[in-house]
Amino acid sequence: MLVMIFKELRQLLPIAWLWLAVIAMGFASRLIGSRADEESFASWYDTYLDVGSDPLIAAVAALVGLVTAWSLFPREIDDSTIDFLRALPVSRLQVFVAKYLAAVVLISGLVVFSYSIDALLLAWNPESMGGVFYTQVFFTLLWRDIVFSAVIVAHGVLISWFRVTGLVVYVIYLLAVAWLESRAGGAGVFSVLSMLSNEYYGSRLVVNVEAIVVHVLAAFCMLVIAHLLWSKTASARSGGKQRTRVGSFWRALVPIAAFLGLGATLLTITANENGGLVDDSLSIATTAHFRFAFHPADQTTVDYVLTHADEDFRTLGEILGAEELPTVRVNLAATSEHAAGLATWKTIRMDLDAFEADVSQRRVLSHEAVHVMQSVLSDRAMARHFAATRFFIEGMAQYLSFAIVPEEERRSSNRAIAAIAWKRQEIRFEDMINPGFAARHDPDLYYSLGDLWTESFVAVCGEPALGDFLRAAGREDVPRSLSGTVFWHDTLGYLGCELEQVNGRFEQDMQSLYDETDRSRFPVFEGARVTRLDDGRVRIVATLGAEKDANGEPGVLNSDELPARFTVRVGGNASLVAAVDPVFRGRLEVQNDQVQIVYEIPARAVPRNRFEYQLGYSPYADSRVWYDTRRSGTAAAGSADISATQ
Amino acid sequence: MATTALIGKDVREHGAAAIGLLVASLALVALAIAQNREAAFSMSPFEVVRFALITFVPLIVLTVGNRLIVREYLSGTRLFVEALPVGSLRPLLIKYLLGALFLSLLALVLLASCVLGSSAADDVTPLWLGQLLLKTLVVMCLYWSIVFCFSLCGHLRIVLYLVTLGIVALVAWMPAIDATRFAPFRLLDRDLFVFERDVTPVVDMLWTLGLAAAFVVTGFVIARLGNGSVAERLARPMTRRDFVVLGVLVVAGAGLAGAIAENRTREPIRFGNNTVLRVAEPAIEMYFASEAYRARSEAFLQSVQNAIEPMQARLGIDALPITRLALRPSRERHDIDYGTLDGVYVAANWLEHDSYDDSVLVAVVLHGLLTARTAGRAPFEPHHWVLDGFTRWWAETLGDPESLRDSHRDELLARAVFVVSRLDQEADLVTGWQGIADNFGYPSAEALAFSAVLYVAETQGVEAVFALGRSFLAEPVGASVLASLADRRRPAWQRFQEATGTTRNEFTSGWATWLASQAREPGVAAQLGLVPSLEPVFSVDSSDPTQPAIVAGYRQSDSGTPGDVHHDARCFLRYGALSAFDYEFEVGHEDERESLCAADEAAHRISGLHGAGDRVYVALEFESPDFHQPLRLGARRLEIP
Repeated sequence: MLVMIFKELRQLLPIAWLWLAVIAMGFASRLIGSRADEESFASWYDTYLDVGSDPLIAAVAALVGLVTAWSLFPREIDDSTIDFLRALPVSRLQVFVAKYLAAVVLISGLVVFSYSIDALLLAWNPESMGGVFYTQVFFTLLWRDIVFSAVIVAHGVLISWFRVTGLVVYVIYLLAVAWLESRAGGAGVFSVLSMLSNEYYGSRLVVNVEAIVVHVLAAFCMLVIAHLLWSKTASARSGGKQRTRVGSFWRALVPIAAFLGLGATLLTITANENGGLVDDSLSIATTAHFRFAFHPADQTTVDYVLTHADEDFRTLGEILGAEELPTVRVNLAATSEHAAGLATWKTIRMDLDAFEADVSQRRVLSHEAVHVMQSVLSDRAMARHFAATRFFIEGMAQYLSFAIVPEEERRSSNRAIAAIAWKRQEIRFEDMINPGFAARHDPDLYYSLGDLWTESFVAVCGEPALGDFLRAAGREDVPRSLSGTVFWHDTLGYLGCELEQVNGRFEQDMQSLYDETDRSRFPVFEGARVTRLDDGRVRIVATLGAEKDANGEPGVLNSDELPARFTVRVGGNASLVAAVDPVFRGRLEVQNDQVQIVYEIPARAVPRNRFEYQLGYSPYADSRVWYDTRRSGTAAAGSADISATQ
Repeated sequence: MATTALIGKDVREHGAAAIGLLVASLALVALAIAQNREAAFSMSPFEVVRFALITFVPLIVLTVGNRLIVREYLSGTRLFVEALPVGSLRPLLIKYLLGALFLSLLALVLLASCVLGSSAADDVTPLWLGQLLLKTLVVMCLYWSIVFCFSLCGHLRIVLYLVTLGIVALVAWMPAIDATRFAPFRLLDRDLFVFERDVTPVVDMLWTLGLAAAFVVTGFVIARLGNGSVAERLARPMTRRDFVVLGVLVVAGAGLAGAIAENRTREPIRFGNNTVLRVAEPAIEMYFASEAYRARSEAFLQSVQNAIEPMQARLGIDALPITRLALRPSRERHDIDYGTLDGVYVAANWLEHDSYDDSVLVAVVLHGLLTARTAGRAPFEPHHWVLDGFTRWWAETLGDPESLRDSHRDELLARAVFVVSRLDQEADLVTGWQGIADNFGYPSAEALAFSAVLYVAETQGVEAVFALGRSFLAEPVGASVLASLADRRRPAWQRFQEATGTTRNEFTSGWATWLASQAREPGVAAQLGLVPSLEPVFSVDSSDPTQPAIVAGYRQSDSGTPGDVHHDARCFLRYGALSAFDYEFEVGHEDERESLCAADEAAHRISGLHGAGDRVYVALEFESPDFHQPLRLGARRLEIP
């Protein structure tokens, strides 16, 4: 057997050189651009160590495994060299196992080689903290990568028998994972990427054992099937290509029929859910600048929106100094759990169920119209600097939409939420332009804090500066590589407006707003108990208390002004698609004069033990939710029993 | 007739596979549309067209190329076709057109599926649909032309595909290149490809078609060069020489890309307002917010200028980056923002500073300048204590030891003595700097480094300190592994010895003795007497596993005498979540708990914020009017069990 494996390894040498070249280029690109002795364990492995799984790295690892697997059997069959192997006094099973093991050994060797270089480089860092080598994490990554590669090679050995059809099936599988993640928030162990999911207990990497076991078993089954298929496949010269017409017909027909059935079913479902073009139930209305599609049942609301749409848009254009206004297509029949409106280029989607009042729908349209103008006037530059400008993108849209369609009550509640968060979480401009803002704070603060920052911006630079900023951001000579702070200084500098002055004004305004805000409406979450129930759900019981007064003394919770609605937002589990963190409602309970909020989270939202969450509430009726900073919890199975016995 | 026969031959050979591929594509598109419907941020089912073009369509095009061309060239069966009396170009042209026809059909299927999945809200007009189809066909034409060309390159094609993939990735992700501004990337823009209806990107399409034509022509040239001998040669397995040539090409390409990236440099950012003070040499800009703050700001600017100019001369530094100082009047005294990404940027409130606070801020500026000067090498742990110590020493003395104020010296040395008294072992400045800063905070770590530099100045003279600065802080260090190697040839203690003429052991023991003697100086002893004799205590209470708690407090120190603590003094617990991996962590003031400074081992309790497996950084700090900056009593990295 060993001889067979060595023979296969020799045959795989060209591909080994290819992967070695890729590894060498990867190391070279990193070592040319950085001082290796300053690389820490975390900085070297970067996103590969993040909680969850990194789809890009998984894709590269999968590509290596699939390409290697592809070179095992198909060419031997096509070139008929398999006949030489079959002529040897070894069983076909041994040939199959030798080939599979050779591929796994090759990739394992490459993985070990690559990790060894990593270890050497990391050992070079002499720093007492930055130079710490995490042995458990290192070896866990190493063996997990090898197991993952072995699984992918097994996939490859099987699908390569089906040639292109197999590849298509594999792509269908990945799309199905993406579809599941979009629909349910996560694909669980169905996704092979879950094998690479990271979770930490202290500094210890905890692998997803369930996913690994499931996929290793599945891979074993695939190998059995692959062996059956490959061992019965004749080579080209020994009759493999001399199929009967009837056989070839059925061979072609089965996958065609299967794909046709799948495609037709999905398209029928999609077409039916959408209404389709043929039997569309949507009504259409057009104005000078808009084309609206809507359900006839919403006619009254749409009539109101239509009456003001063009005038509001023209006002917006004047404020932004736009020479011409585009035609915008608005889908008012959309539904979304996440947003009242979305805008891309000259297209808007709105969910009319998000708000009750017609004036709110009109304002949402104005908000989204601002996004359209931002894209057009900046020639999509705001999207290119998305992390650094996101608060301004949303803030400007809030500021202008409230200016055009006043909703004072809603705006003041939003601003109160922003003021409390700004003070309690000490949020600064540098935080708002930091890509990690949404991971630490409430992403909805982009809207309310952005609104207030835009107000300070207008106070310092003047209202015309809003449109000028967009045009300046889209200048041809602005390098794409500007960091957040430099981008802001550069763009405002071009306008002759000083960022420091805007930020100084913003800090003053925020302090005044905080002082004016009734803090009794903003109780604090003092503690939270996390338990996993027997049915898999996770229960969080949080205690509500009053904010401390100026002297640091505990305040008294005003039971007459308790928030109207409680929610918890749980960190998402999607890896292939951009998803929104799921939100669940909580209920208020009073026990022994303690006000407690009980949240129960479905098991699918917390598939592993560790998770992140944010507790929140609506401080005013119909207001946005105020969220506390992110917390992390551990909901191990059986924790309910433990708590019961304490 | 011959053409029909050739077409018939290819249709017979690949017809069934083509139908299968088309139907499989339909299934893929249908699934993509289903996923699009569920996606959180999807706007239209037609987004699937672009998604398909950048994901699985290239795979399909590759498959087509493999079947139509590669098989025939690698197996040599093309020779039979070439032997036919139909000319040499016609069979290849027919293959190209058949491939293009199949992919056009695929484009139609793709668009038709999206139309079926759309609704009236998508406003599917014939004009827009035609525009979208045209763009799709142009992109597919480019793909097919590339695959057609590379398919004629035999075994070399795999390398060519990898290089192309690398170039695409480079252009798409390299920060210096804005791919949204030119074809074919602009044609496939996320916003414009589907949602732009008013403008047909004729120029981008023509560029893309031009690129496609170039590949097609290259393909035909390769096929016909030397009567097909080049294609014949390429169809053979690659030799080592081929690999070497390719390696050279790849390296040259990488070098070119690097050069492109380097060329995109720009002028540093400047403040642009009339409340700005400017100094040309050394380059300093100061934003002072309001005329009311001009006088105080001018005074502070003078302090900064006075510090930078002679330091630059003493260290022999030819050029320093610009310093930008921004006044934030609403900030607290030591609330400082600091960055070295574009020159040195410091935002702070210096309006109510005394001379000690000014020195702190000047040291921050110098810290930034020397960090930038060494291209970020100065904060490397073996060098960091020199950076901290030298900059603070310079900010206090401007190179003249006589200028050091007694009150500053006492407070700084008291901090240093406090740190040393709390260390379990001898302070190792080179290999333990990060741990010292982590446990006792940057102000105390800086004070400790200051004491070391002051000791060198007092025992070896100021020239030794300048030599130390020149050795560690004056030379730029490149950003590559070779630069690391060059820099590490002279270890930190060797440099130290060369600069000061003192060995590591002589320095360490001498400094410790000197510091102990300084602790007995009246001013330092008095300052130390203002510190509470408390030791920090940390623990995790996980008796309730559903709500583990971090408990921290203070224990009366065994050795110290009760300090004469100011009545306004307070103790704070400051904490922050840590990742699984250690790095230098500076805890902020946003998460803190306050208490009296008294012996109470459970003075602070944090529960409900962290779960089992979390790592939390916890620091206990003492704040008093007697000290300008918080004095960290101790810190711990806790893991919740």
